[in-house]
Amino acid sequence: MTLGMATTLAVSATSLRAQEISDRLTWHASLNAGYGRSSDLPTLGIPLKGTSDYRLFTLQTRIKLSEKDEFVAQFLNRKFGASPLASAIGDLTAQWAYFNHRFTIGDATANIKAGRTPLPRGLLNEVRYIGAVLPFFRPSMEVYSDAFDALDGAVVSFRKPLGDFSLEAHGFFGGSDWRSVVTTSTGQDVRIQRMENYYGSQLYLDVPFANIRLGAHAARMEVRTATTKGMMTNTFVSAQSQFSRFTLRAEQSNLNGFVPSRDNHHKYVQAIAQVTDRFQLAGERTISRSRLFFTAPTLRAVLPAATSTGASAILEVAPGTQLKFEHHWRNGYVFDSNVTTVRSQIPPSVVLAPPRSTRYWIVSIATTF
Amino acid sequence: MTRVLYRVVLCAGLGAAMLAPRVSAAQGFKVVVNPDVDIVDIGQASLSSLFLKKDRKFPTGIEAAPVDLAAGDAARGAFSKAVHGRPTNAVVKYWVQQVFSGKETPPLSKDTDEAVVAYVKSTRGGIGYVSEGAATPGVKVLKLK
Repeated sequence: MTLGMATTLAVSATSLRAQEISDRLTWHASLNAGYGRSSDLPTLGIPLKGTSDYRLFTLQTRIKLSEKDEFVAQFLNRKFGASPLASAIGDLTAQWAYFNHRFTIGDATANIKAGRTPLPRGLLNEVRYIGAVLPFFRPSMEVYSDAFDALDGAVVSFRKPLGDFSLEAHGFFGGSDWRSVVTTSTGQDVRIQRMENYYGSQLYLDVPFANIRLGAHAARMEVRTATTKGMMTNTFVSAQSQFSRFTLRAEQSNLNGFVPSRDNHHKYVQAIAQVTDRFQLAGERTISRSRLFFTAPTLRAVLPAATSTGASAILEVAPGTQLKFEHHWRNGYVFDSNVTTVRSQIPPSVVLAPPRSTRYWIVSIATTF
Repeated sequence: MTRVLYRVVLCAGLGAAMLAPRVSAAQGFKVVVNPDVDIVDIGQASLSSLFLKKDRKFPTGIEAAPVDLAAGDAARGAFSKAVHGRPTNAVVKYWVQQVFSGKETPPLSKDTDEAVVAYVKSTRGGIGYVSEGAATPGVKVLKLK
């Protein structure tokens, strides 16, 4: 064999391998970028003077390893303006990196994901950064928070037809990061914690009319900081229906735990109307109830309900690309600047400060390919 | 919250009763399947499940290989409304949701009726739909129940 022939064969083999890889490789991307401004208090990273540093970009790659196996990685660039969480969130993170194996058990389809996987929790957790499928820039912040977006561990999933109904069940075990701004009796606190020994399940029932989907989630986890370890439970119930030109959605999340103590109940209802083929209107109302805990165990207080009301207009400017204008009214105690929650705490009584309020708007573009 | 969920479900149920998809005679598309798939008809819900990859197999046990027409195609619009009960852009949104939640990827998409027929004919478990007047040599046209 001459050197020329050997080189030609080597180049052919390389280009064949490259062709094989490109046949098995797919890319998907999503961009959700906006400009926001708030009116009275900065909130959700949106300052009074406005910010254009408001962006979610995801890049997903899937490599098909066989008919039943694939590797999926998704990278996330997340910028939330002047959010206090900015210091706790990296600009670019590997949101997911997992191996997925599909199999069947009788008439049920099943799969197991291992690695850093999406966490099935409610209706929107796995697509919380994908603006093109959301009526607002993000799902209800109080209900979904800045945590629970991925699980380092394994998720086993089953889907089984039950006549015209369909049941989807997920069981999971692993750990997850948790970064949050929480209200304490002395103000706001940015918490960076790690949840370990996190286990639970998510069930969905698809009903064969009006595209109704019902969901229930329950999970238990250890919450760890550098100096403490506590337990927490999270339950989540969901309902969604899509019929004709309407989508209705309602969800409730309950978080309970100790060290640090938590007793939070958040819920929202959302309605979306497809006014024309390219134009939608949406409305959302979130209500949050949280208990305040004090060093003195005899002191207890429940904060007045915090509410957030939003309205958005969504125009599809190109297939898969939306322009959104949304306006929100928000009141309560969680903002990006400290607000007083407690006026005085002299046992056995607590005097709470009145809730504060602000408005903010975001204009954003959301696209996927 | 229970009351809110109850209302959502009730509204959805009432809406569904009025607005559930109906596959009419003048539907604007016909469903074609590989001749090796031993069925002659299929229900709307089963067909929707196959195209949304909620079910992966025909009742005969053969793995389904669905193929869509491109998003702007009139026959796809008619199919989406009649079979999935929602417009094509809602179905496209469903697939974006599936992809970015780490689940399924959408079926293959072909630009023409001829390409759909060729794919269905040459693929085991192939199932697709074409416009009502399209020629369908070498594939079987399914009756919708």
